Amino acid sequence: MTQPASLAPSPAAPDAELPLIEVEHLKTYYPIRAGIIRRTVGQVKAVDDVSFQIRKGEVFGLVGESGCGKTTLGRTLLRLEKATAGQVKMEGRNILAFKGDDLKALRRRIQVIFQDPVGSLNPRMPVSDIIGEGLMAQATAENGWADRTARDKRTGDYLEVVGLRRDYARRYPHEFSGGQRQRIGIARALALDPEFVFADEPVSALDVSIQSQILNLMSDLREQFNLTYLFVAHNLSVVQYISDRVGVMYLGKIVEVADVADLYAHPRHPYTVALLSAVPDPDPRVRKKRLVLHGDVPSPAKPPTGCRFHTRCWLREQLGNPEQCSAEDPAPRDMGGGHQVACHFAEQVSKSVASETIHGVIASKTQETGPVVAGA
Amino acid sequence: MDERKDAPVTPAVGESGQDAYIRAEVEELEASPDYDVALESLGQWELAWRRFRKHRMAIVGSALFFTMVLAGVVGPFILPFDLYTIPYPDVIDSFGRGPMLGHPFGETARLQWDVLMLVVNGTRLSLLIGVLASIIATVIGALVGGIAGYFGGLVDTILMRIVDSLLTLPLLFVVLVFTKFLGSGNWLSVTIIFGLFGWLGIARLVRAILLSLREEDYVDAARAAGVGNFRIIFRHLMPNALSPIIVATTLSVAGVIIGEAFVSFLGFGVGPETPTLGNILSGSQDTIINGNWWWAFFPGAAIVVIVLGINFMGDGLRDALDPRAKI
Amino acid sequence: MTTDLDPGAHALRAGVGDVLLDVRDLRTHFKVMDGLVKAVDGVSFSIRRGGRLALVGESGCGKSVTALTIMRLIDQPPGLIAGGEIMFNGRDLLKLSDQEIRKIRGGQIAMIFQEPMTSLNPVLTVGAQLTEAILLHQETDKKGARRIAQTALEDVGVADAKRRLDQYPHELSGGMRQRVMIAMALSCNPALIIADEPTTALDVTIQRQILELIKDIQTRTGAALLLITHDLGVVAETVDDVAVMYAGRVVETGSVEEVLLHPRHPYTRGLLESIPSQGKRGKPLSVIKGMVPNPFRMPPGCKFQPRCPYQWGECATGEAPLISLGEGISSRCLLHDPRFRDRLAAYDTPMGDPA
Repeated sequence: MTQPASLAPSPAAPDAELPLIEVEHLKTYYPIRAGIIRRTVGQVKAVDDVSFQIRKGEVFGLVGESGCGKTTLGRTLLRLEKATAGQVKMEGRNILAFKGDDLKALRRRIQVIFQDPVGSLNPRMPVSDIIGEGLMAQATAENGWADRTARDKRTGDYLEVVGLRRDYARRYPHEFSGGQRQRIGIARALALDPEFVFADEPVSALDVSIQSQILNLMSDLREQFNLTYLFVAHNLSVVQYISDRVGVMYLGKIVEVADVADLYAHPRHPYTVALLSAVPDPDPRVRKKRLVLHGDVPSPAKPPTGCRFHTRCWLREQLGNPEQCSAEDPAPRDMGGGHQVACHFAEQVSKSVASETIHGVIASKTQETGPVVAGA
Repeated sequence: MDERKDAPVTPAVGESGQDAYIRAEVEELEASPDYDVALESLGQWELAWRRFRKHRMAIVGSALFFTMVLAGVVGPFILPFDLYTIPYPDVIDSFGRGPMLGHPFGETARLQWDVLMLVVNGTRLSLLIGVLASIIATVIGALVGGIAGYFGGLVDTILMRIVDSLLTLPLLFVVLVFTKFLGSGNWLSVTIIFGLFGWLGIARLVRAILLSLREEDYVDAARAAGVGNFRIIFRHLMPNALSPIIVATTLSVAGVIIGEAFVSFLGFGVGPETPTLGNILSGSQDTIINGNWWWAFFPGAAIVVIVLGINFMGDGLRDALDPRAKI
Repeated sequence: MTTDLDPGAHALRAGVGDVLLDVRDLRTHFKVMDGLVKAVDGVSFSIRRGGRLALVGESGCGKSVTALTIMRLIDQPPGLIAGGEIMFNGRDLLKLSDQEIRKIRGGQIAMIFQEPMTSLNPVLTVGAQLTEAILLHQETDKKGARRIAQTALEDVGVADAKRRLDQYPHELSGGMRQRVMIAMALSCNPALIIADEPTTALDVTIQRQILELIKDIQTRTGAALLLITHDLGVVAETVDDVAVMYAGRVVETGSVEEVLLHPRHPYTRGLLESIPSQGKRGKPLSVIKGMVPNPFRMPPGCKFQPRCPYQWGECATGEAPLISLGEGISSRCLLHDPRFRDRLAAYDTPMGDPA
């Protein structure tokens, strides 16, 4: 096995690197069928005209609430969902059009780590088969994976890479704890030598103390194997810790993309501000200006007209409900330094509002501020 | 307490903190008292067996069933009668003789066959028909249901509409008609006919299970690694559907045995030259009004015991194989 | 089992007359095929009238079982309440008859569950479920109950409450369902609200709404709150006092500030240090090594000892009682035993490397 690189983990500087994945106007719609002849009566626009790039060697974090389309987006890149329109380019070639041998070769390069440590491992297979099945499917004359002993050796090697013992290969998933299962899932993905890994909420189902073990492992492996991650999560502190750049999704659209420090210091989209503000801070001294969004996320089958966030937007309220918000779908624009925002009034989100609502101030308990709706 | 744990973990040269940590964790785990628990942890089948053993009715059912299997398999060899040697009647008797020493189940009327010998041979054939037909049905059902459930969409619609239309046919009458035209009397053709018409329920069951199983993440993981569809169905998914399939197959053995008895009783099934529990009953029907109860009672009781045994066993299997059941 | 619980160590007992709920040395066990699982094994805490306490811990630590035991919702068997008492308003809930506990449950003590979908009956309208609870616990007729139900919904910020009463749970969003659950809990003016991971199944922005609502209602009605959660962020923003649980025991108690800023128990410190944040970018997160002990093979001595970076020989043999450190602060760790004062000095150095 490759000797682990000696490292003091530091995020690789991905700037000036080539994009590994270029997503262009990607749309993934699900038909809504009704009636006895299952006629299509509508569409759930899970991913609706999304464009962004993932640079080689970076961790691209994707955040958003359930139903925003972040998982569907990842699954579309993995070719597990069928895209409705658009392109996903890897080295200039549209991978959505791949078929047959091309597709099979692509599967090796793009791998996935799932959220649920229970459901992602086949309960009726020993670990050796869980990892070995992919190797067998990808066997070629060069790698010799068609041979059982070669597969078993590689399985053992990768179990060690993720911090488990070789001989765990003989055991079944139910014999492992959640954290150990997640390690097996990671070994399964890495055994195929991928370049790009889609991590779909990889630590959401784990307890805090196990979560940090897995995050450390993922950071280490990224260095060791030169991986690029698409890291989907709803836990914003996790995304903040691990990502180099972050995309924020709302109802099928990416509303903001920026470097992680920039995004957390000065988010430009009112939804991002609200999302970051909503994260409870474990420091009891921190007093934030509360920004409570009203109402629920609208259904992606019937998204609002214009800007999709306008029905819940605090900024729009503050600006006196301008017509433009409900009439015109804002196109993503560059605010400088690769900070992209899809909001007509992004300039109105001041840095001070952002810092008051997101970072708050350290205050003594007596100065408690009640909930404040920004803009009210 | 060993001293090693007192020292904080210091990374070895050339190792990242993470690696040192992982190593320490593995060592820690091995040293910790709960480590061997993971080693001892039981396989799913062992767990199922433990649950099955605790199920009293299942144990009773299995005892009944396997007693009958034993009787069917070994009985013909140890009984002092040969099925194909028609005994020389010492008394011409249209009434037959009741249970007695040497013939504990009595003798039939007319040819004076030993009823025990008939029941033992009939049990063997009835079980054989039941098991074989159920296996045929399960294989077809799993294939059709597996394909329909995994692929879904149009394939599913077409296959399931076929199943639906076949299900509207009254199965026993179809079997009656088929046995009539396709070599009535031959036990193998009866078996095949039951197999060919018995898969519908299993197909529906397998389809329903696969429809939900295909949503599991491990299926996506296999697809994302490039594993082929048929391998996913039969290597990854079927083993997970195995428990309910086993239960369904077990219960279908009982169904086929009753069905065969019914058909043979009506004279459309297996011919009288090869006794099954059904056609033994069929032979007894003229004499039963004369008070000749033993000719009908013992084969009838054999059917009841087999079917009851299988059903109890099936219930036990259902509980034992249910992964949600408490250990 | 060592249970040399120091009676004076009763952490959050602030004036005996003031105490609404006082759980003392509670033990809830489960008999399963492989043996006895001691899910809750010596849990003590108390809540003042109108107080807010969080029970924090990772999955399997026994926090939810504790809540269910207080509600007397543990099936026996396989459950077995092996000891302890739950004093509520001066009465021991464990000694009440089924009839009496039913009166208290949903009346004086209300519970909000984690999964708002499964805790509402899908075939009954919201109104039917609300009025049923009201009719059971309050002196009123059907019409009056409906009126109360409507006010209850309005109180929890459900717009168009009258129409919502005739809707079924599946017609509501997750956040809305949780509001209905809260309305149901509040409709009978409880003295104590037990909220078991009330926001875990919800998105952050909805979680924010519900947390604000729970806090608002709690101050408005003066009901005491027992919040059960694994999220230290939620704890920091919602309650005044905290009890941290590990392996069926309370290992640390204190005010939010004390516990989250100056954790006395190594487990609490480990938990806090392992939370990722931007400040920790580029550095490996500190971790609690290993995993929660197997319930059938609990380590002798301190249950956290196999994972504890501060442990020494003593820890493997003797389990510390919940040692009172004054002002409601207590810790179940030998470091706070006066005999080991020198070791505590090493622990008290700022968070970071234990060495």
